[in-house]
This record gives sequence, structure tokens and C-alpha cells, in this order.
Amino acid sequence: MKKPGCRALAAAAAAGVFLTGCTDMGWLPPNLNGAYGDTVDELYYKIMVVVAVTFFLTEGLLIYSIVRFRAASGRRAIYSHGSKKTELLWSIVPGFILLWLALVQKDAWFHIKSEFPKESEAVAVQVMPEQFAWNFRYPGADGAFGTEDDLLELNNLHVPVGKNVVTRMSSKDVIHSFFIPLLRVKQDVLPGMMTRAWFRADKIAVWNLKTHKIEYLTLADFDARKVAFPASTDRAGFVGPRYGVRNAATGVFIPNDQPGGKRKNGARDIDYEPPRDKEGGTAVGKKIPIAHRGKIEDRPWEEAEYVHHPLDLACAELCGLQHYRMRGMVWVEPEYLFRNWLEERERSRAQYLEEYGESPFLAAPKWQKVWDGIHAEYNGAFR
Amino acid sequence: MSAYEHAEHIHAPPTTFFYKYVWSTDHKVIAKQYLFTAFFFLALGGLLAMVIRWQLAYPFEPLPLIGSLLKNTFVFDSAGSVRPEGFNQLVTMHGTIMIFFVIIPILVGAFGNFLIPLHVGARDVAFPILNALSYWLFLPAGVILFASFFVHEGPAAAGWTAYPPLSDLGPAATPGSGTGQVLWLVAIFLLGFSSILGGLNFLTTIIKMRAPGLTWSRLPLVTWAQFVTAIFQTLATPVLASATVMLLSDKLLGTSLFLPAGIHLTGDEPVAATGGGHPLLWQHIFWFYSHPAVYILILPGMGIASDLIATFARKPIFGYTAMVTSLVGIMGLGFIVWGHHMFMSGMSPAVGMAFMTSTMLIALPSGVKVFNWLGTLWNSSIRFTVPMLHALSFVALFIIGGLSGIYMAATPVDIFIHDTYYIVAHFHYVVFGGTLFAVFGGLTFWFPKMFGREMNRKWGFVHWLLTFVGFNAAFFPMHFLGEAGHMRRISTPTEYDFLGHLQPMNEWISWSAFLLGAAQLIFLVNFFGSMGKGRKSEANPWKSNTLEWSTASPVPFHNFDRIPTVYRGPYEYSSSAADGRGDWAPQDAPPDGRGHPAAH
Ligand SMILES: [Cu+2]
Ligand SMILES: [Cu+2]
Repeated sequence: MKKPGCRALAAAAAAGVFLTGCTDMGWLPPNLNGAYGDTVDELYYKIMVVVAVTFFLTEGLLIYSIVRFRAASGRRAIYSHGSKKTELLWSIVPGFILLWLALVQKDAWFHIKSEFPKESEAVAVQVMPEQFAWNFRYPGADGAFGTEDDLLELNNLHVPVGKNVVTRMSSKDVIHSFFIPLLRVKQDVLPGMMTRAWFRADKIAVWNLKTHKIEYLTLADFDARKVAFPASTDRAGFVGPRYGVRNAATGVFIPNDQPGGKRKNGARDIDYEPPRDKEGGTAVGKKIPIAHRGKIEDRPWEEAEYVHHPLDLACAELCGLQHYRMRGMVWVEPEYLFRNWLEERERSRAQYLEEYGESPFLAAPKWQKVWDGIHAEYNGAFR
Repeated sequence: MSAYEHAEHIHAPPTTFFYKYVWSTDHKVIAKQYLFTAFFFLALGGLLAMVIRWQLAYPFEPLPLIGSLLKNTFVFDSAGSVRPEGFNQLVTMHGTIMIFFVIIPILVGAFGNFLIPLHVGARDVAFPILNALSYWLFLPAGVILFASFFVHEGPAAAGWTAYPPLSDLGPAATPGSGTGQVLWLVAIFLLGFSSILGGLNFLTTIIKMRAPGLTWSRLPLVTWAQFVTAIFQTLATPVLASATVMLLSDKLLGTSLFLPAGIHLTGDEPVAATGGGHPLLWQHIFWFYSHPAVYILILPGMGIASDLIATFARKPIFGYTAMVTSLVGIMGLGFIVWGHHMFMSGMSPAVGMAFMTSTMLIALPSGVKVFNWLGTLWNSSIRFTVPMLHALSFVALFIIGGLSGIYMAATPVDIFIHDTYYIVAHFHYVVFGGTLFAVFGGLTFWFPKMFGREMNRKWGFVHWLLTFVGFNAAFFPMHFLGEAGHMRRISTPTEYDFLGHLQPMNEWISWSAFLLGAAQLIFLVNFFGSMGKGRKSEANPWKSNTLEWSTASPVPFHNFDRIPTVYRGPYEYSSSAADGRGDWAPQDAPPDGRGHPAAH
């Protein structure tokens, strides 16, 4: 290869890496997984460097050749069958690079997919997807699944911030895939066998009521703010998130179900509605529970700076009719809010038991059979 | 001269319409039968893609024109919008049609059939009747698949990969999992047989019927690629065929080969007749075929690109031996990488590690091929004909498709991008950017040989330009969608907070896809118009070396008046063997320079 060509190619490669960096970095969604999220993203970028260099070298060479060696009158191609030395070089070097790429994945791969934290030291959850919903089951006080004090929850997965979460997963019907993009978690969930996943969310998603944007706060930042959180069973609260169209200039929000509340391309904005009273009117000045400095206090809605916002949980495996909207919500929250939520669920269960004489869990023995009748490893004590 | 030639006898060409065009055993007619059938399915699969893109740009909005005509039929609801299950059927049928009824039939059925006997210097394939039978198994397969659009609840909706239990449990699991899925399985089963018979035929032809002097190292790379593809077809397709029989048995005979115990659908009681089976079994069997199938989809394209690049660069292929070795390397490794489709499936991580390593390594032979194409262009003298523009586009786009594959091979990275638009971008860069560009290159290149006429070059150029621009505008942004986590096979991303901001990009992609689709009409008009009205072509319009260019255009019924004797490799351009009349040296021109048949 001639020298000017060489220099041009090196420049093309360098410019390429730079350009790739500029255009590409922004697309990955935020990464909240403190356990291994950064490792996944770093490996992604490691490959990107190799790919970008290769891409700009080969495409650069291609374009250079097309321009430089276009047919001109009287010029003949130089007859040659190739060069063994060159071929050897460009077989062995990429070979080693590819092997190296495979090897650098190894530790992360086993760390993520087989080195699960002990369930007794983490938050353990059973996940059972069905067409088209996510069922979650917490083990309750006894630390074992499939017992009477288990807690059931539909579509809402609550996890404490900064703590490892381990899931035992099995499907009720077809294959689904447990995908939390912002936590870099994906694992297929099959009927008839158990798969597991784990992660640790180190940041909390919140909705900024002033800027109308989602933000991700550390626990310390969260504690310093006043954050309202959605209504659960026995507390009055606000409604949301709701979807519609926000006028960028005026800030006016029109919900989905009203005229002008839908865009033709389906893109939608998010909003949180102030709490409403029983008649449906806005209860301005009404006190709602707000999290602040590690405590839950009743304060007027107007004081809230943020609203607690869920992460998307999606199903990544084609699973039928409503696959596209098999959305779950992952609530990352401070430990005390997580405990508070568990207690609330416990209270509502006790209330149900009192009213109907049986726990909501045992009220559906057939449903229990679904959870417990499949395979032994799915239930039982912490491992 | 040789004993071989004495044994050869020429049949009289058939005279009746039936034997000439319907039950023909002539490899050239069969090639065209495959080609025209595949054109029909290309149009159909392309239309499905347009509807998919409409839905993704404007979710659940009525489709203009077509939607109002097809209200309450096929995939549309009473307003003429795509139904949610309709979307699943669209992606399922688009994938199935494009892979099984467009790309494979064109590459193997059309190009394989047309070129192999010509390239080895034979009068037909080894088993002409078997060859006709292959097509007549393929056509009913296509008819059956097409018919599934018209059955109750419509065609299959479980993806082209048809994962059980979704594909197994019948209509209770999803509309389309009943009759539609059964027809899908029957069609794939028939197609599999067609493919196996075709593969055996081609293997025998290439091994046994090469003309005198045509050693393995003088075989054109396009035929080498067909040879390796035929091995894949013969060894891998039976596995797919048995998988379809197993799934049919689950669906029709009440077995539960893919169904574990305790599956619950809507009712409180578990689904009867389950137990003992395993859904991962299907995935292993399916991908054991379907990863090699990915190479069936690309290797012949690589072969076509090699031939075109050598011809129009007027230079021998750089490293012919390495090109062949890498084909064989791809074949060897191609059988042990299937698990890279299953990294997230629940398969053991240790097994995943092994599949990751083999998958990384299979990038090497593909890389070597790219380097050798670039080496061929170096110091060459490039003619920018329409076929060459397609071949150069093939290289440029295959590089992108190959490189994006590395991300998916890396297991931890795959955790995030698995089943997102990243994979959609990747395989469209390989199968459209790669293979379809090679197909367009090959069709415009061999068109004179097939029909005795030339295609219009100006419109050929316009088609290439619009396709190249439209393709990249449509598919490159899909990398960004994938990087953002946009799941594939969802009918709209607008249900999710983390995907909402991507909707304008979905619109952009759709409009680019509409441009890309419209550009293909230019090709069809040019193709069929030139068949009747194109300029009459000489025997060797491109000044090419391989044997098909030594016989008349269009190729006569018996291919060669005399079975040619081969004196040199296929790519002796600009060599001293060229006798001074030009820069090419036909494979069958005697070395003393007396004859230069192509120049007649
Ligand atoms: Cu699902
Ligand atoms: Cu594969």
C-alpha cells in the first residue's frame, strides 16, 4: 500500500471513531443497574471501537479503490492473484482480535447469568408472566415461597434501591421474556422450567413536575427532595401517570381520551394529575403522602417537586395478541418506602381475610395450583 | 475427443407448451420458473413490509387505499387499520415469505439452476426429472402458504421461528395458531423436501459433470458457493423437516413433544395433553437448521459478488484459494453456532460461552472474503456497470451487516440488544443489503444470457441509486432503535416511556421504506419490459471468461454445441493469456490463442 493511502486511511479511521462516538453514544437508554449495567455498556463500547475502526478502514479502502481505480482509457488492471503474506496477515490479526473479544465477555457473562446473590441476602421475587400480564409473588415473612403468607402483586414490581434483587421465573402459558431496558436485564421465561435473573437498581426514577421530564436520582438526592408517590390501596393520592399531548409552547396537557390528545404517529407525553376528591374534582390543597428525608409526611400536593415514576418492564418475546402492550412497571424506591408498601399489602391481605374468611391467595386454589404445581425448584426456601 | 464427450447425447427440445414451460426438465426453464414464482412472493412480502411500516409509523391508523378496500379481511379491522394479531401475522408472513419463498428460491432455485450446468460445462443437471420435481414441490408449498391468508383467523402469527408453545397450542394461544400454523408447517415441510432434492442434484452435478479440464480450482466462485450451499441444504434441511413433522404431530395427533406439564391458558385448569415435552427442544432443532439457512441466504450472494467484481474490475480474484477455504470454513463453523440465537433462552451460560466463541470465529472467514474483494479492487480497472454497482453495494453493506453481528455474538451485550431492532437492522443488512443487492447484480448481469436481450442501463442505474439510498435510509436508523432498546415484533412502541421519543424515527424509517418499495417497481418494469423489447444481446456482452459466455445468448436448449474443454481458471483478466484482442481469456479458449470464441 502506498504511503498517502495509508495516511488517508488512518485519518479516516480516526475521524470514523470520533464520528461514531458523537452519533452513537446518545442512543443507549440510561443505565441504573449498579451491579453490572456499566459492564454491559462498556463491553458494548469496546466492540464499537473495534467495529468503528474496521468499518472505516474497509469502507475507506473500498471508496478509495472505487475512485482511484476507476477505468480510464488505456489503463489496464495489474494482473495478480494476490499475496499470501497479506492474506496471512489479514486472517491472523482479525482472528486474534475476535478471540480476544470473545474472551473479554467471559467474566461478565458468567457474573450476570450464573453468579446469583444469595436470596436470603437479597430481595427474592417470583415472576410468573401470562398472556398478557406480569404476576409477582413475594415470599412474606417466612422467607419461603409457596406458603400462606406470600404476597401477590400484578404488573407492579417493587424493589428497594441499592439492594440486589433475585427473580425465580416461570411462565404460565407461552414463552415471554423479562426485559427491563434501563436495568440491562433480559431473560426468557418459559413454561415448564425455571429461569433466574438478578440486578441492583442504584437510582430511582422520578417525574419532575416542573420540567415535565423523567430524572434518575441517587438515594441521597431522593431524600433531599419532596417526592409524591402514587396511590396504593388505603391511601389517597394522585392519579398517574397518564398519557396525552403536551403543547411544547404553552405547557398545556391534553389527555389521550380528549380531542387533540392523540398524535397521528402515536408519540405521547406523560403527565401526573393532582389528587382528586371523591366527586372527581381536583382537591387543591389536599394533603397527600410525600416522601422527604427518609419519612412519609402528609403535605399539600403543591409542595411536591417530584412524583415517583416507574421503569418500563417489557416482554421481549413474541407471545400473542397483546404482546406489544405487555407492559409492567418497576418501582425502584428507598428501603423505607419498599417496607411501607409491603406493610400496606400485608394490611390489605389481613383485611380481606377478615371480610371473606380466607386469604386472597388461598381464595383461588386453582390459581395456587398454577404457581405451585409445576416444578419443585420454583418454590421452597431461600437458596 | 474425450471419452466424456462421446457419452454425451443431445435430446431434441420439447415442442408442446406443457413440456416446454410447465413440466420442463430443462434447468434454464426451471430456473425461470423459480425466478418468476419468487418475484410474485417478493412483491407480496414487500407489500406486507409496507403495511408493517405503516402500522409502525402511524399505529392503528387506517391504512390509506388498501385498508379501506380490505376492511375486515386479512389483517385489517372494520376501520381498515391493522389489528394487533394482524401485525403478528404480518411479521410472521413477511419473514417466512422473504426467507423461504424469495431469497432461497432465487439464489438456489434460479441462479443455482441456471448457472451450475453452464459453469461446469454440462448440458443439464445430473437428475433433470428430480429437478423438475423440486420445483413442483416448491410451488404447492407456496400455494399452501399463500392460501393460509384466506383461512379462518388468518395465517400463522408465531413469528418465522414459530416458537412453541405459542405455535403449538392452537387458536387458544393466539389467532393464527390453528389452521394457519398447520398450513405454514405443511408448506415448510414440502419446501424442505424440495430443498433437499435440489441440494443433492447440485452436489452430484458439480462433483460428477465438470467438463474436461475443469478442475476444482478452476470452478467459478459462484459455483463453489452453490456447492457449499448445497451441502448445507442436504445436511441441515432434514432437521427442519423433522421439526415441522414433530410440531404437526403436537398439533394434530395430540402429542406434547414441545409442551411441558402444567400450561394454563385462559381457564383455571391446565391445558390437557401437555407434559413431557420441552419448548427449548424446538429452538435447538429449528436453529440447527436455520443458522445454516442464514448462510444459504448469503453464500450464493457472496459467490455472485465475487464473479461480478472480478469481471468488472478486469482482474483475477485476490486469493482464490482463501476465498474457497473461507467458504468451507463458514460451512464447518456454520454447523456449530446455532446456539447464539438462544443466549437469553434459559440455555446454560456455559453452553452460551462455547457458542459465543464459535460465533466470533465465524466472523473471520467472512472478514477474509471482504478483505479479498478489496484486494481484488486494488490496482484494478473498474467498469461501473449496473451489475457492478450492485456488487460494490453488496460489499459496502455486507461489511455493516457483518460487523453488527459481532455485538449480538457478545453474550453480555446481547442481553440488552437481543430481540430488539438491532437484530432487525443486522439481518436486513445481510439479507437485503447483502443478498438482494447481489441478486439484482446477478439478474442484471445474466439477463442477456437468460433472455438474449439487454436490460435498460439508464433505468437500471436509477433503480440501483434509489434502492441504495432508500435501503440505507430505512435500515441504518434501526441500529439506533435497537440501541435504544426498541423490541422487534411489537406493533407499536408508543406504549412504553423509554421508547416514546423514537416515534419520529419510526416515521422516517417508514417513508424511506416506502421509497425503497416504490423503487422496486422500476426494476420490475425494466425487467419485464426488456424481456420483450430490450436490445438483442451478443454472446458475451460483458467480456467475461466463464463458460456460459462462450455459448449463444440466450443459451440454446442443449447449452453447448460441443462440450467445452477448460484450459484455465475463471478470472484470468488482464493476463498474458489474453490474446491481444482484449483483456479477457475465456476458460475454454485454447492457450495457443487460436480461438477466442467470445469475440466472434
Ligand atoms: Cu409476553
Ligand atoms: Cu445464526
